[in-house]
Amino acid sequence: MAQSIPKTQKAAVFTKSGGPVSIETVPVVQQKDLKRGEVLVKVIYSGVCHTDLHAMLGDWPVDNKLPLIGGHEGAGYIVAIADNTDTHLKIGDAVGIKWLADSCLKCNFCIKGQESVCKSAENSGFSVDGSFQQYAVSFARHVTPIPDGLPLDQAAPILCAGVTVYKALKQADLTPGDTVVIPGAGGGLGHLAVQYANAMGYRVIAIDTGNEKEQLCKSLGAESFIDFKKTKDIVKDVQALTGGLGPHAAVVAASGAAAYELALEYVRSYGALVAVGLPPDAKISADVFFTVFQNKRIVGSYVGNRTDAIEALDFAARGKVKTFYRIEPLDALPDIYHRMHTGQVTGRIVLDLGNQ
Amino acid sequence: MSNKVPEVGKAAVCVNRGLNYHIECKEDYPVPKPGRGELLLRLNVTGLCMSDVHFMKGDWGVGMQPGVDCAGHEGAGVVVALGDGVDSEKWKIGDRAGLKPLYDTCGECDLCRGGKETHCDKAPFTGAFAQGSYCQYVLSPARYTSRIPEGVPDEIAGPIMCSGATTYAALKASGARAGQWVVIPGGGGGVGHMAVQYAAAMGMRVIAIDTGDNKKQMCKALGAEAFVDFATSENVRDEIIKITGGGAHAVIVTGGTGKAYEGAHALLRKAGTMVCVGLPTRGTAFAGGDPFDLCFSNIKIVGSLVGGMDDVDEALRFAARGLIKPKITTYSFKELPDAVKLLTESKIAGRAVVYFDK
Repeated sequence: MAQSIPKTQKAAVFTKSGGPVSIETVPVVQQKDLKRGEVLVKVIYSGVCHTDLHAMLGDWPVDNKLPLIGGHEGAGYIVAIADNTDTHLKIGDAVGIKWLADSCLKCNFCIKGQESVCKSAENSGFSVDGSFQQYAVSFARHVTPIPDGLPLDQAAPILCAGVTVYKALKQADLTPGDTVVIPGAGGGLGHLAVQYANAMGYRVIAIDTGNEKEQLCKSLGAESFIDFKKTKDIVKDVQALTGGLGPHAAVVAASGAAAYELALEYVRSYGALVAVGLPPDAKISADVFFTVFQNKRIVGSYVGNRTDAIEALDFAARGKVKTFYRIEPLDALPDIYHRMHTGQVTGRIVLDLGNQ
Repeated sequence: MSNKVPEVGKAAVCVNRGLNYHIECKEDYPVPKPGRGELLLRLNVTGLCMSDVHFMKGDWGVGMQPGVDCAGHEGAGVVVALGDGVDSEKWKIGDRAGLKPLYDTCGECDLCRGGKETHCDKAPFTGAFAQGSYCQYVLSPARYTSRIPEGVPDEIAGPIMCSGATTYAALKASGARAGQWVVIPGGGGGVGHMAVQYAAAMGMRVIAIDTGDNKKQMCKALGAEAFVDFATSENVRDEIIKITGGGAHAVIVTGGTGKAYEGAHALLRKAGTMVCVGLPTRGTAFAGGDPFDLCFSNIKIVGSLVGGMDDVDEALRFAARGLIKPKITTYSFKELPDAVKLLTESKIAGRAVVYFDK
């Protein structure tokens, strides 16, 4: 399938930390200019992740490239492959661009599947330009094949939000039948975590607030729901739902320390707090005595590797996991960032890049 | 129902143990008194398992020991008496309890301490080394008696004691994850259909192999994503490879014949695991194949034996949540010998459960 590749495209770019991000016309990297190993992906949809906001604000303790085109939940098609690239990919293949754009695949970390922490890792929309553009350069060995039959707009949020919570659940090291608590279960990551946990045979206790989120969480498979605004004591409520022992794990994607500390308190002995959120300035305070005495685990879980991404998409392709999202045009990105920053966004937003 | 303990009760005893055994239903079998640390259970039901037949026949090389008159290890009932030294905080008369394949463990050996208690050298097997669940009033060591939770009726709890817990433990042993393919040869059978349900509840993608429309409907209703009919299929292995895109991640062999094991590991993809659960007559089956194939495909063949305390507890919890619904045919006590005969002729679909008081 020969695709004619335009010379220019629309992209969301910012040149300094704090923004502003503006939608501009920028050049498209042509096939002959792709470096060996690279592919050009025509991005049709891209999810917007809170990390993208952090990248724009520059408020993380690690630096991103400037100027930067953000985005790392891209779903689209391969339109060009660099010369001499060793790959099974073909023009026209549906692929996803995730946070982990590339890793060396040779170091000890990569070989063990710990690709996300490779010292040579590249991150989409952070160290390399990402998916908030119509034609994005990414890496053949790392782009994720999107299964036939999974629409690209549904695939997009799985590439970060989905993979991240799926892998976090794997890191919790649970057996089917075990109980896991998901704080913020009605949110962007949370509502996916509820579904993955359910599909993996775990029992889910959802924590969030309001009738709407309660209905949503229960419809997605949560066995119980705790409204954190109505409860007087979350720890007690969680323990009451788990025979006094606490859940086997909690997967926490919150932006403040409190949710992590509460989780560490209510998980059972030998249980795990799996920390997924990336707030720039939060510390988990853990009493050493009780952490040891109760053999509790604090586990940091950082995105996922290539296999995690493929597996996460498979659950979505089989209808076990469905993202709740809204589609908005690329032009809306600056306003979306503003809404995210002021806490006005519920669920996931997916940018429409293919139909500009 | 009163929990008074009578002097005699019902028992389906094995007579002339060996290849020509038969079962006699007695209603005047002496009720034992619980010794130190023991509970006396009055069972309401017993499930029937092919293992019972093997113990009665002795064709596994180990048979029912002297003093053991009744086979059976899928009992569900209530506690009716406590022996000396039993902690009355832990056990009360009227508590629901079950009798499972493992009667007790030593609790002190490396295997017990290492999560492998079902392999404890000193573990007596119920129905062979200790009186089994074909006996209505039966003893059980308090430390190793399984509780039956609310929400699991006796006729479901009984079969879970063996077939449920065993297949659940086997699925855990397979290492298969949610989203991965598990093949259950004999998925329409007594043990097989339990494996189908547990695998589905654990999020795995299940393929049942069996034959006939009835079993196909049942397996699909219980959560199997696909069904391969071995009688009508051109090539079972080819179909499995096609459905799974290269082979299953796990195969749980529950069938009790040599045929069930033949070629079972060839249904796996590379790095797959075959778990052996079915126990054919000694010397009639072989699990595995040419080491060349095993090496090149990184195949694991794992033997799995019943379920321990935790496995039974967890298996019962799935049932308490409504996720496990064994297909049960019920029989009266007097029908027990006939039901066992039907079992040996493979004529029972699903699990057979005998009610002592019917």
